[in-house]
Amino acid sequence: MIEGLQYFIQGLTGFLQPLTLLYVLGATQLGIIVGMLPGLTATMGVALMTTLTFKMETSNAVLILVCMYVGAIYGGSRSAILLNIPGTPANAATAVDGYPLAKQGRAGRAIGIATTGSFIGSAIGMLMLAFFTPILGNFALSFLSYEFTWLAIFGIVICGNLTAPKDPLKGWIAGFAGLFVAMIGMEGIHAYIRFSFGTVAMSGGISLIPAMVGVFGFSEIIAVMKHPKMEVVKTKIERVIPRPREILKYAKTIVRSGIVGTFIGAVPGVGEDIAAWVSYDMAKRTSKDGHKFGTGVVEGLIAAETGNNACVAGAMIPVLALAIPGSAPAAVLLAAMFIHGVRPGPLIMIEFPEFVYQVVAMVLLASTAMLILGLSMVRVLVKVLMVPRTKLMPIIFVLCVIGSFAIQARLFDVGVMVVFGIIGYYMREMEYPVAPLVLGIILGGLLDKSLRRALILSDGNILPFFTRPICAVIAAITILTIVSRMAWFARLVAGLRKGIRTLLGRGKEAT
Amino acid sequence: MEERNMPRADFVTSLILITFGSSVLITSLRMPRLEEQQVNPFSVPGLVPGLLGVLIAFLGIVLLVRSIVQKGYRLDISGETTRGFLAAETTRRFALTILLSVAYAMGMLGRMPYPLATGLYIFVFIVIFEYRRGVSLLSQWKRILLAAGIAAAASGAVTGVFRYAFFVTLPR
Repeated sequence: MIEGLQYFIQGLTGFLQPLTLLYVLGATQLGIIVGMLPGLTATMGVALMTTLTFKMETSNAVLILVCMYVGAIYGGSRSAILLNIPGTPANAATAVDGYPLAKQGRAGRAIGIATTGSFIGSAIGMLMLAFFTPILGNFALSFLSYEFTWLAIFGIVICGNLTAPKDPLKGWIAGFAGLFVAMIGMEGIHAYIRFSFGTVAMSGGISLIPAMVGVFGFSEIIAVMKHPKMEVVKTKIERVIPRPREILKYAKTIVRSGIVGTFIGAVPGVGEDIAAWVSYDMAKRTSKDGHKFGTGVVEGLIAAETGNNACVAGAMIPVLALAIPGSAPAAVLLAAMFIHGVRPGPLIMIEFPEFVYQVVAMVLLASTAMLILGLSMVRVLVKVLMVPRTKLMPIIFVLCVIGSFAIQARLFDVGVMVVFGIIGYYMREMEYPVAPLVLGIILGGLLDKSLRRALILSDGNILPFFTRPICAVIAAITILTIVSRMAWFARLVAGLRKGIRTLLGRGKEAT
Repeated sequence: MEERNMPRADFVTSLILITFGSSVLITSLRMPRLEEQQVNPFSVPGLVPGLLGVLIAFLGIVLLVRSIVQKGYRLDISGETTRGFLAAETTRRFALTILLSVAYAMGMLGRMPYPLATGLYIFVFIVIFEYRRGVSLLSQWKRILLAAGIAAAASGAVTGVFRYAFFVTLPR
């Protein structure tokens, strides 16, 4: 604990240089703009910044990416409140009460509350990141190939389940399709080239960043070009800085949303949009004004924004401890760390423990910059939302092309981006979530190697996959996650509940 | 997509998934077992893709059964619905966005200097989407001039910032 604090202070003081602070402010501001603009998501922003920071020193590069991530997740609240169009999916829940508040002439108040909620959410997430990452990392040191196999499968199943609540079957299909995409190219044990169809380009496999830029960037551009024109709420932006007692009034909601958001962030592939909705939903169920949610209730707005920003730090817990992303932007952050020579995973607490606390310091700096910029640049930045889509979208596509091309300098990657963009668009139209597809691409390599190694170790015996203690727990949770969505299971649980109630009722009568 | 059309979409998608999953399985079974290298049979390259092929085909069958129960096999494709779809404004915007972007990314890049390709793409995109039908092109000269200005500025800024300020590799 003391050592961790020492690393944190060292990391923080190392970043307190004029140029570094300029990077923090610039990257966070750019992140807020990226988040605000429909058509640009946090994932896209982090992917583009990975390209820009490619030649920078590692800690500065990761700092800029973290600032972009934090800024973008917060920035989407601006367009959610003023346009009723969330700038990123993470801000969809913000629009529900934020936009009505803006229509009531309280846009400034809504923005101020969203900003403060985001900052506190980030701070709670940051504390949990500092506390849980070393614990999870040390725990994961005992994982063998069996556990990693189940972790990969569990990641896909839970991500598919939570990102497609109406139809988890589609989430699982997307996830397994993503796992297949990772099979293309040279496999990791015998260097055999799979599914290349004789082409040299395909032998190198499908790179993550072009696929992500396509699925999140190009598909979004296609979708935005079909939308009706946006109308910015013509409201006077009055007082933005909220009163402290207004925030203290919702302290319980803020803390709960922060904790919930962080935990959801730590679940592989489940990102800020789910964190925001779950936090919002919990606030609605527990609030005495729950029936008024959706009409401009401050508590709903603060729950959504606290939850989604807490998720940012939460998503970094499995990135650092397990090299498994907690969300889509975290997946790009993970890829960027590998590009810069950082090796996240269970060994990070042994090889680079100081890096974990540097990331905590980065989240603190990014959140502070977000608070300052969020409360001070409101009126100026509203004008950014007035830029017509027809002028903005082609420029965003140009950035998508650069983001795909630059890492490996292959036009093939631009082609991958285009193809995945079209696939991503159709997936949205058919109500397939894209997050499991992306998570599948990331976890495919891990599943492939771990499953085969585990079978070699056990000589084809599948019993260890179910009898090893950690495997048994992960397997049970995975199977429960799948069956819990089936009608027969719901009937079974309802029957059991009724039976238990009857028994207890009879027991009370007897006494 | 409207809810009532989803079973039909699911029916078509499930057939694609079953075909895809089966193809992956067949290709995986055809992959070499590398016996001459005396590798462990549980480490053969086709193992995991084969399992994924089976899973995807299975989930496709589940989706197919569900869509049949919801009568998704009644595709109701007629000349009228096809004409309506093709004539819709959203279809036109969708097709134009993809066509222009694919032409830029796959057709122009690498074949002409990057700033020229980028400027041309942005210019054509803005002009086509902002063009007002029924009004002559010449009378919209202010719109065209603005589009040219934005295209030149954006192309120049992007090339300058990425290539010369941050030393990022751009296409030719």
